[in-house]
Amino acid sequence: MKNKKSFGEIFTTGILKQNPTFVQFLGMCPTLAVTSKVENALGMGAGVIFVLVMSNFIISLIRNFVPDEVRIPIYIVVIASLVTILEMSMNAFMPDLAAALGTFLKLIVVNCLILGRAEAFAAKNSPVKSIADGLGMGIGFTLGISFIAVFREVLGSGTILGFEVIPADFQLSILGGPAGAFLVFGILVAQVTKLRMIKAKKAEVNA
Amino acid sequence: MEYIALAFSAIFVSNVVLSQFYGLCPFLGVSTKKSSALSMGMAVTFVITLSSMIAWAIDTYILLPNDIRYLNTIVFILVIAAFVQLVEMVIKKFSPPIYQALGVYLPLITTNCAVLGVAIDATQKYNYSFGSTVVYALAISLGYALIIFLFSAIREEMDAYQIPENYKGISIALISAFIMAMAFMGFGGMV
Repeated sequence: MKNKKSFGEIFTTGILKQNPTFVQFLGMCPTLAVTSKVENALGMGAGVIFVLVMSNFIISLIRNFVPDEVRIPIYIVVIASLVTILEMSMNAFMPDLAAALGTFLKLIVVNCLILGRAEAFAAKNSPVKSIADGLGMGIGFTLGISFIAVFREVLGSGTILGFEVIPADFQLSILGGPAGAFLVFGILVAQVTKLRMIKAKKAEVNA
Repeated sequence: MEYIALAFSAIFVSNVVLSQFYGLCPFLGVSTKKSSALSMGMAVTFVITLSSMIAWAIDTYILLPNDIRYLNTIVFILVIAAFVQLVEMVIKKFSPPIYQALGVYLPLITTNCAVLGVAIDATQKYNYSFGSTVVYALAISLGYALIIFLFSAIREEMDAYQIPENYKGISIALISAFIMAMAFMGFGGMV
């Protein structure tokens, strides 16, 4: 299957129309685990963008040499090596962020977004298009988790990127904790779905 | 006694799904029916317990003596992928009925982050001994099976009620998980 879309279209698909967080529901574990602080969400997003762009690029380069039966293990090795590089550089240059993300930094290996894009896009398209796809999906993921993190950090710990905006007496600390992650994400998903339904209806009326 | 406390806290207090967020994709994806949730829970229990034991052995006897623990992500994920493949082949050969029940879920387990997460946590984060690793892995996976089964029972009941159109599916599932997580927070006072 050849993809005839332009680079711009490939790039924006991941950000809005097929947003990994709110439309495709890929990579749910980090979505809930690292969104208690905007800073962590941005760090996780940057890590995912790096791994996703590089893995899409490498897998697209080798797509014609990899035998079909063993492609998944090979993809996993490529992704795991990239994650190890990311983890070592983050430990060296940003130890605080690496500590905050904890095991979830290593768990980028099993983020289904990355293997999903390798299988669905990079294995069938040219390296340049795969980079565009990786960037779009990565940025879409980063925006998605940062959006959740804004709500959780402001309402849960009363700060935004570390600056206090809500005094301690008015905070809903449960939203910053593990349980609140489910509630905030669930409600946001419902609102995004509502917007998409309204948009779909409008498109129907116009057609 | 030490093992009992460890197991209790892994199953209830810091439940793998509700407070550590491991393995959410299958938690939301395979929990629409009780029967499939039970099969998934069993498959996960089996794979997590055995692969953590293998990961512990590799970590202690190969990675640590050679000072190459930084390779643990790559080594563990390969071991898990190979192990899952092996389990699938063995079950297919020796027990067709079990394969019928678990077959479709086994390939999914490779990318279940609970498997890799528990292997890494037990070895690198907590530095558990072999006994503690086994108890921890077994308890974590039993906690997973318990939660996914309870959750599927709730979701089956939910079909009978009217839910606003935009809350259907993932959204209402997440909100129910929130209520479950709050209930489980109560166990925090016991340890």
